[in-house]
Amino acid sequence: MFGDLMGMMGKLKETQEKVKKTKERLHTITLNESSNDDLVKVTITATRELKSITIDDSLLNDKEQLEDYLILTLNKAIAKASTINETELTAAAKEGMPNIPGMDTLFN
Amino acid sequence: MKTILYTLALFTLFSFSTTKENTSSVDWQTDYEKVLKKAKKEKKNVLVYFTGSDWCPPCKMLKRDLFETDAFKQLSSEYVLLYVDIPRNKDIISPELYSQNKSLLPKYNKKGVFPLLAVLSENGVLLDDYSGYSMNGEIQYHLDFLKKNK
Repeated sequence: MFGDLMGMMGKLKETQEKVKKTKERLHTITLNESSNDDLVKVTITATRELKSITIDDSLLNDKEQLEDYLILTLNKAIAKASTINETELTAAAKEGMPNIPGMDTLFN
Repeated sequence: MKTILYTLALFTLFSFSTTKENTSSVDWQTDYEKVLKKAKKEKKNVLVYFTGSDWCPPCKMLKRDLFETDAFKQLSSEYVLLYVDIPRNKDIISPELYSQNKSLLPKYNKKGVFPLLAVLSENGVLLDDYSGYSMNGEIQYHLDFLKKNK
């Protein structure tokens, strides 16, 4: 019984290590997103850290429009980054773990 | 007669598959030193692709969306191509290649971002780079980058 428990603990540690390494790798993945007319461009990592925002000069005179552009473009970028983040972390968490419902969300 | 027809069919099939391979493949190389020598000889810039072939989703998509297009095939002939893979599973490439690829990171990909396209002069000097991918099939920025630096 304790042998199994020790084995499980070992697996859990191994998986935690895999998840940690995956998180480090996700931090190096860069995604680009832009508004439909390319007036706002953003770069974000798969860990949802913004790396750059480029705004076309034509948007600088209209504060409200700029705010709308930023919200739309940033949300698209964050959604994309989140999808990659969740997919990759779930895959890393599932590797070598027994299939327990809800277990994968622990690592997100 | 049957044997002749069978041989002919096989020959035709082989010819077609060879032709397809020649037109669809782009000449990515992996040896940094050899690539620089070739670039000097042909007086071309080097296009380096930094990828994580088994862990980076945008890298995988960029490979499919950009590198297999006719536009890329045409533009890539202006460069000598170097494929730098930093895989999670180190068994995918040889230890020597892994070590070479790792050593190129501080030189040409200081931020360690993926995917990254970098253009080097024939002497190995970094001229320009472009990182990231939108994952929606929009490759115009990448093509513009390649046009600008050839």
